[in-house]
Amino acid sequence: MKKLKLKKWKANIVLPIITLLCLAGFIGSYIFPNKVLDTFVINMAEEEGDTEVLLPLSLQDEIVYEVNTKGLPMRGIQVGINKRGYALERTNLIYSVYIGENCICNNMYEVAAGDDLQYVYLPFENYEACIGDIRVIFTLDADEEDAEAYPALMANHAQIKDAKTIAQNRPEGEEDTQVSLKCNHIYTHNTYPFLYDCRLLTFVFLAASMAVSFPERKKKEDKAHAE
Amino acid sequence: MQNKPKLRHFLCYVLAFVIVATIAVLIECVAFQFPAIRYKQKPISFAWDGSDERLTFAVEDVLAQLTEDEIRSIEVERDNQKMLAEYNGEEYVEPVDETLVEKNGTMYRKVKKTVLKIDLGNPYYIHKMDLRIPVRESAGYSVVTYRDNVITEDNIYCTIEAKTGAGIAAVKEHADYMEISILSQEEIAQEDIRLVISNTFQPNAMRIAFMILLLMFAVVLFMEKESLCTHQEWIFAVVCLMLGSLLIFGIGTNQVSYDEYVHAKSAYKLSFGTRIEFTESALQMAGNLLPHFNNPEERQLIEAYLDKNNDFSWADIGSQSRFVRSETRVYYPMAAGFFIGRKLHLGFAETVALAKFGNLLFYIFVVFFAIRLAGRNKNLVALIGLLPNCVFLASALTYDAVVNSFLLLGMVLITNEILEPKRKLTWQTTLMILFSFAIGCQSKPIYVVMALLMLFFGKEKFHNRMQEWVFRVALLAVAGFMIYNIFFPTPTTDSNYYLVENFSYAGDKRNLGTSVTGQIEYIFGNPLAYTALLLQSMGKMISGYLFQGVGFFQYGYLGAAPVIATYLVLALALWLVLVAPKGEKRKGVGVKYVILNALMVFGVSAIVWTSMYVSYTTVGANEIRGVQGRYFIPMFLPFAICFLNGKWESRLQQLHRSRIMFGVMAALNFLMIYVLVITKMNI
Repeated sequence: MKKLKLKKWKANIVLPIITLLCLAGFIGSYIFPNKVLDTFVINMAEEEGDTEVLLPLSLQDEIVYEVNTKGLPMRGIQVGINKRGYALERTNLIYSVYIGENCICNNMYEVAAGDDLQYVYLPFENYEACIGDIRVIFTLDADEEDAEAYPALMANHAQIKDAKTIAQNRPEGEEDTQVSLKCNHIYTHNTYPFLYDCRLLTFVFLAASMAVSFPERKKKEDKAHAE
Repeated sequence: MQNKPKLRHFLCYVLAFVIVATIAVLIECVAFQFPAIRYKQKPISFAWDGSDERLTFAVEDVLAQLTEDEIRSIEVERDNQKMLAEYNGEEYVEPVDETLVEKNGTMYRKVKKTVLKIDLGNPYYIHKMDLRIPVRESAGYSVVTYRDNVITEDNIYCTIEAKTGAGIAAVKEHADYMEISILSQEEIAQEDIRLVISNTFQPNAMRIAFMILLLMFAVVLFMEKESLCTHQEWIFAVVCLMLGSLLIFGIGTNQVSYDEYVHAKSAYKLSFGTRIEFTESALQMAGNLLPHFNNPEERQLIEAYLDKNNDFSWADIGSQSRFVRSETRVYYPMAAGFFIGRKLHLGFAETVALAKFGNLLFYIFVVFFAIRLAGRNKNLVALIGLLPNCVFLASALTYDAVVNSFLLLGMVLITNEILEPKRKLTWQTTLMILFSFAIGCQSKPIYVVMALLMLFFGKEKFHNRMQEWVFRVALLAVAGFMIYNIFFPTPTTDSNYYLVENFSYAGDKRNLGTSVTGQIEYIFGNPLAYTALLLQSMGKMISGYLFQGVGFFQYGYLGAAPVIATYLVLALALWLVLVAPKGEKRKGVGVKYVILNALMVFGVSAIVWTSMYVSYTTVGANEIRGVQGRYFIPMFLPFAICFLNGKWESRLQQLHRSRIMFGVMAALNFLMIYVLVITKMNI
């Protein structure tokens, strides 16, 4: 204790300032939260004995992914895009989100940007509206000349609650089986990195401030209190 | 001129060290290496390739009974998978393990039993037996040795670690015939088996280090008279560093502390920035899968294996938020060790040791100040700091070292204020007490209830009414926010945040049928039944430690000291608080604080028990699971202070009291280290 030799007049100023800074941090943490992506692993691994399925995309056929977001606005989806060895430099994946018949957002991803097999994050614009029963429709925009060289989405045979995958174009032997898109759902939530510290330290320094500020300023009261 | 005594003091230590080291090496070479010197036999190798008629080989199918831990582990894993499937809305299909058999209500595993018989011809003193078999799953073997057709030893068991393909046993028997029974899940090909028996001169570094430190401790007790009287914190620091170093060096990478893998993972992650690189060895450490060694030879093999797999060129890369969670900050001392080890390109085992040293040094640093500030209770605080549980936890990968040290510091400061009821509370004291609790309770917030003792400080402690009330409000706010954070933690950046924060699924996943909400509902629905269960459980635990032979002083999963040690330390602590040193006047604690301290100790204990019932025990169970003696260490000081007495005076001076206290505590730790660490994994 003897080592802490901050002069009293300095402590009078420093401690209340630190208290106020902590208080500002406490309030500021609520006003400026840190928004982070939150990954929900939905269907990424095959059960024992199951195998992966490639759901080919084409200009005519679409892949529909229906899901209930359980009351949370969905920020995006992460799906596996397999280029099947092609470069696909002029191929774009179009993904649109529908609620009922209303199109909430319509975005595009350049397939050439990814590796041969990559799980890419496809963000939804206007994501606040992507809540409840939504349909994500994947289609393709590509050169007619490369009609055979199309990518595929990764899927497997798992059963997923509140989610359904409808693919018109199925590989051979998979026409009648149930397939599910391999994907993560991406949501967001707020974090408050300094909230815990600021709210504690506000009161720690407040208590310390009171031990130094008032005794100096109110000597009379001090005397009266002691009596 | 003043430097001369210091120089002489230093030279005395150098001389003492040389003498002590010589004695230790001589004892090791003459006493412990005697068989190697006497018999002078070369190692013998055996291979089952059919060329040696003295060797036989046979295989049969047998059933091996599963241990309770194995059965429980299978059940817990199934329960967790079932819950995850339920959360994901998937149908749970129970996996079928064809190697498991249920017979007469007991579970067995189908295994292969391979029996090897070796006719040595002439008697051979087998010191070590090194059996090498490449296996996919770890196997075990037992050895029976014979001499002149009489069994000389039939109690040797060893594990063949799949990762190294070796199982080395210390046999220490003179034999002319051996029978080895190997239990494995797979069939072993006889041409893959290699066996070496040996009796070589191999001084044991761990044992030598132990003897040197033990004797050096005696030298410190003899030479440091002044420090033993007035600066016990320095003696504590030296003794704790000696004991901790032995523990760290002796235990190595063996994961023997409570949930060490969980703490290791958090500390390892914290040693990185936003990009984490998990090497294969680090992944095994985080998954509680590090191979376990039982002797120096196995240790050498395992450390080589871990170094080989500590290659960052094929590390598993992940990412984490740049904002560290408040609860994980207690891992910084360990994270610093991991960071330095990595930057210095040390081996995996050395890096783990450095992380443990970070913890140990931090513990010593905080407890050093707790002792220094403890006034006339320095010996009592040093005793608590040297409790075997505390020293062990400070030398392991766990946040308990931070919790114990800061709570001890906080309680020392509160005790000082209690003993001086008319001394005003200064801003320095206020800051230090609240900081100690804020840091100490970061990962175990329920202990903050201990700080609420300060709510009962009399008005004489404050300069004025305003300070008094603001202090009380601030204290309540600090405690309130910490407890609030248990139930409503600040959102994290972890994946599956909504699952983790969902109270319906909250509960300790190491146990079956846990549910926080379910258990709280049960308690409120049956308050009387729960109170009875709580009191009964507390009574059972106390009676277990005091009357039923359950050892309180534990070195994690390595084992415990006999119950006599509990009595001895309790008696020592009581003596320190009840009787003052010769010629020293000291104050007792007033009745008010005795009652408050006792109530606080009981209250916090009840909260600890209840927290384990809520999070760790099956809903509605008729027992409270998971409560361990170490949870009550932070309450030792307030409990002991209840007995603080200023009336009785000892005939012994402070020097002798300190020698007795340090002597007993260090002897207890040295004994536990020898029995639980050296003989179990270093011989």
